[in-house]
Amino acid sequence: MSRRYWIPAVGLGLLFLSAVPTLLPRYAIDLIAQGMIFAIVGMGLDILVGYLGLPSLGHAAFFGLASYGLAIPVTRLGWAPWAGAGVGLLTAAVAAALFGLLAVRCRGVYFLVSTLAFGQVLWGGAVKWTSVSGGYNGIPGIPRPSLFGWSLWEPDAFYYFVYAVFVVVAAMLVLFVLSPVGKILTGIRESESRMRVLGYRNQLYRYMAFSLSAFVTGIAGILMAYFNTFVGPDSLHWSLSAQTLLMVILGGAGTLLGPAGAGILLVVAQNLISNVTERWTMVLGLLYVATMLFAPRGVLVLLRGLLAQRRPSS
Amino acid sequence: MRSFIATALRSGIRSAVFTLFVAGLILVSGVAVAQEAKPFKIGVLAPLTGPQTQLGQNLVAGVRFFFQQRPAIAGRSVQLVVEDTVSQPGQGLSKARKLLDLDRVDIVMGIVNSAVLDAVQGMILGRRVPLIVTNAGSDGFTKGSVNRYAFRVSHTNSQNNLALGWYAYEKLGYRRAAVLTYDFIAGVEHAGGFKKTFTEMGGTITQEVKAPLGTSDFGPYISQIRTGEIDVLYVFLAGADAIRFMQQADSFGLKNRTKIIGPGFVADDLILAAQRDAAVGVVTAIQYVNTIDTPENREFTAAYRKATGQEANLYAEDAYTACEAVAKALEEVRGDTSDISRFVNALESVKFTSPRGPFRFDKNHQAVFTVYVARVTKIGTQYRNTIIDQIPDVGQDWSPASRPQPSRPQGR
Amino acid sequence: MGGGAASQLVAQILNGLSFGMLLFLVSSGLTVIFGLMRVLSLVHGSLYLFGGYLAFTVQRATGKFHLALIVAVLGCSLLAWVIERLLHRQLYVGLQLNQVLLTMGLAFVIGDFVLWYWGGNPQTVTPPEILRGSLSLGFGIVYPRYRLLIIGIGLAIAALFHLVWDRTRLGAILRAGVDDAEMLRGLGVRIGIVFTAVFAGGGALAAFAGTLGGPFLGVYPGLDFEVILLSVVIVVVGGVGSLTGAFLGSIVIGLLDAFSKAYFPVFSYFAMFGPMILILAFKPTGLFGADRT
Repeated sequence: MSRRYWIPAVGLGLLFLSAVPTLLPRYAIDLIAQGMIFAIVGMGLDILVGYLGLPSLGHAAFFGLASYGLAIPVTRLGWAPWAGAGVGLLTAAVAAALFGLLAVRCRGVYFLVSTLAFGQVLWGGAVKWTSVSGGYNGIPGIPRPSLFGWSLWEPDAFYYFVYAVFVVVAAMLVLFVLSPVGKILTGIRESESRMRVLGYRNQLYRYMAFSLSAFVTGIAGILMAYFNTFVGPDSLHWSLSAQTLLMVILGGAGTLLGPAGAGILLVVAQNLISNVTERWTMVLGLLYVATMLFAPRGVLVLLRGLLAQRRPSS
Repeated sequence: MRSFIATALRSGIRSAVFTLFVAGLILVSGVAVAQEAKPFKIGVLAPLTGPQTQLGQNLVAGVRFFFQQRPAIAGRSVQLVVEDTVSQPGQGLSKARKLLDLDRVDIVMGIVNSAVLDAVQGMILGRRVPLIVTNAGSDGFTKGSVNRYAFRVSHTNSQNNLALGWYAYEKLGYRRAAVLTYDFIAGVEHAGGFKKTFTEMGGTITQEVKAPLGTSDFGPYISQIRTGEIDVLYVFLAGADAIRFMQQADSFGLKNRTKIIGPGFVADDLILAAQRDAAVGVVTAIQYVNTIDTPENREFTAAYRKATGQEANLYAEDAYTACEAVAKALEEVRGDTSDISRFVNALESVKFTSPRGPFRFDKNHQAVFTVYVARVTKIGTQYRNTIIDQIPDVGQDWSPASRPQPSRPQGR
Repeated sequence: MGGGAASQLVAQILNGLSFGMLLFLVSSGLTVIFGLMRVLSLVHGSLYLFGGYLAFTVQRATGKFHLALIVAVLGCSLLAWVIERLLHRQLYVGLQLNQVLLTMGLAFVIGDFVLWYWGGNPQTVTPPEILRGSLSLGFGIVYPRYRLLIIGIGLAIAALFHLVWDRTRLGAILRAGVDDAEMLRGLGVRIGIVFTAVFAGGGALAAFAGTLGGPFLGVYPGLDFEVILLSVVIVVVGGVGSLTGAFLGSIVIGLLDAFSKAYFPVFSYFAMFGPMILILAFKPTGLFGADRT
């Protein structure tokens, strides 16, 4: 899409998001805050799916690990909430650094399945290691911190905190994909052999991007733990990974802002639709099918195509 | 073609704007309505999809059935807002948030899953909204210093088992037992209640086997049980797991070598139809089976069958009794809930006879009830839980010493 | 269980084999579909569950196990046929990821339909009278007849597959297709029909397994994803498109399940996925797989 469209679109989007607490009731504020948290996951995963062509079905692992990494020291050892956030991010990063060594060796479906296995092993660990993780019951009672004297227990303050993190992460990632490194990643996705001939160490770049993607997902995990004041094994489960993957595909892999928008919309849609019908799973399933049939490269790409067709005639 | 697409796109945008507008309207009007009219709003949290769907469906059926019969209480119409937790704490939190912020419910009822209960209780109770649990059993919810707004009409995990452990030793004459239970907290608490009274009476636990939730193949666990050295096998499993276990245990011929006992969930009225012959002879202890022979229960089961086309069961009765407790408290304050603490006072002192028998709360707001000991029997083509004995007035910390006079069997 | 450690060991081996053979019925179809069409069909577990429920309904209405089995197998091969015909355009082109998500979406739809139509109550299929109860194998080992039958059926089907795969024209076409589907087209084989037939056959096999598994695992919402996760592990560990791999993988996973539960309960959560990560780390295409992605 040309800048003519997307600069005003992004501007309007950000403006709307910044006005949410003044415009909408509390329920909607919480909903959209949650949406922005998943938007961060969507962007993080897009680095992997869109810019490396590596579909992960275990990305919830890093999301959940960060939440647990935060929750355990804070609730069991009485650490300060901010210190816990550091531990959580570190946990996600270390896990990504270790697992990434194995994962980047696999391609396509093998990558998909090995990430799935990684996520399920962690899920099993969270369920089984009750003394540390609380097992099925998870860890409730995670406190929210204060920031510049503002308690994040206030819905508005928490919203703006998430908003700020969202904007910063989005900006950093946009800069990253526009940077020379981002170009190299796209090059590796398009033709691995050409980049190798050109002297790039493909595996190293893959490994770095994998770690970055996991780290960004970890940031969202921290926000989610604060948001729910709770973490449980579901946050590691493959079905969450599958939903984040849908966000990326629905929004358009490799567009960064598409997955972000899809993340917000999907969370809002899930809550509103499941308020009126129990058949959300069916709706979600049909959404998967419809996306793959009619917009396999994402709604954003579909729109771009339609706009491009329209322009010459107008 | 192009112009067609352009038109389609424009109308697409238009309909998207319209949808957003409508969605916004629903959001706003939801809040507006809550402020204007004053029906008594009850939020119901239950799993309507996911692994515990069956329990949630029956819970909701019990609530709906009660308010079908009594649409208004003390002059106030009752409005139900039912939300699906999917048995996931995260989804439970989203729905609790919706009930509190959007619907502004007066009370919240239901909850099947202990993990969901742990996750949402802080948020609900923190807003001073009464929470009446009708299934989730985690012992901690009504132990120690308990929140004034927290109530539980159903069992604690250990409650029925405390009575069962004593009964197995004293009345059934078992001395050596093996235990098969879930490997997570609910399993530990259920088996813990049984082990406590059984060993205090002088019984021995020879072996403890723990299985994960959702085990497909119980063969490896069944093969481990050393039936030669036990009088009885205590089992706690529920739902699909209990069905599979009974089927598989039957095919291994386990019942030819030992007896099986457990809390009611091992063979409750809901799953008996699927367990069939495999469960016959199993003895369980629970606060409700649909064969209780009292006027209250005869009336309840008949009306429930007529209204829903289904047999009454534990989950529906728990929900029904919770509604009855709420209705009694609402009558006590004459429908005035402007001061929620008066409503809570009224609720904590309700006392009545429900389908299960005499009902009251203890000082921690945990239900005290009669525990029924039942044996699965086949009558014609039907499978029923036939009551063989009952242990009255069982609270969450029941012990054999606190037992009143022995009772006589009462059942069909 | 009567007897000592040795007879327990035999019982656990039989447990592993019976569960493994049931999984083989699902994973063999999955691996051929994957090998031939390059589609990881996550809807396969839903066909298993749908077949189980069909069998349950027919048996409740007629009381006949064999009739239930026939209806389930026919019904699911029909459903698989419809799915393949409706979606094949999107199924075989484009990104592999999109195919996975497409079949995952279908799995959600079928899973939710099952929940809506049959309700949340777990159900079971009752085996024929003659197969109930257990058999004494000597040395103090008493084992369920039904499970012995499943082991027998699994082995028989594996042998049958082996013959078809190696000795028949159909087998030759399939083997060539797994190696290079384009070449088959060049040789004048109507590959579209082969694809449809294999997909429908896989559906039939899944429904067969769903019905056979009914008296043993029951049928209930959520079983679809439990079955497909294990089958995917088997297919990937064994190597995509390899029937031998699926056979050995099923036995390994079945035995791992039984032994971890019996002797190392702490590891029963990792028993399935842990080895898979290790295998993929050292041989990223599975034990019997050629390199293709």
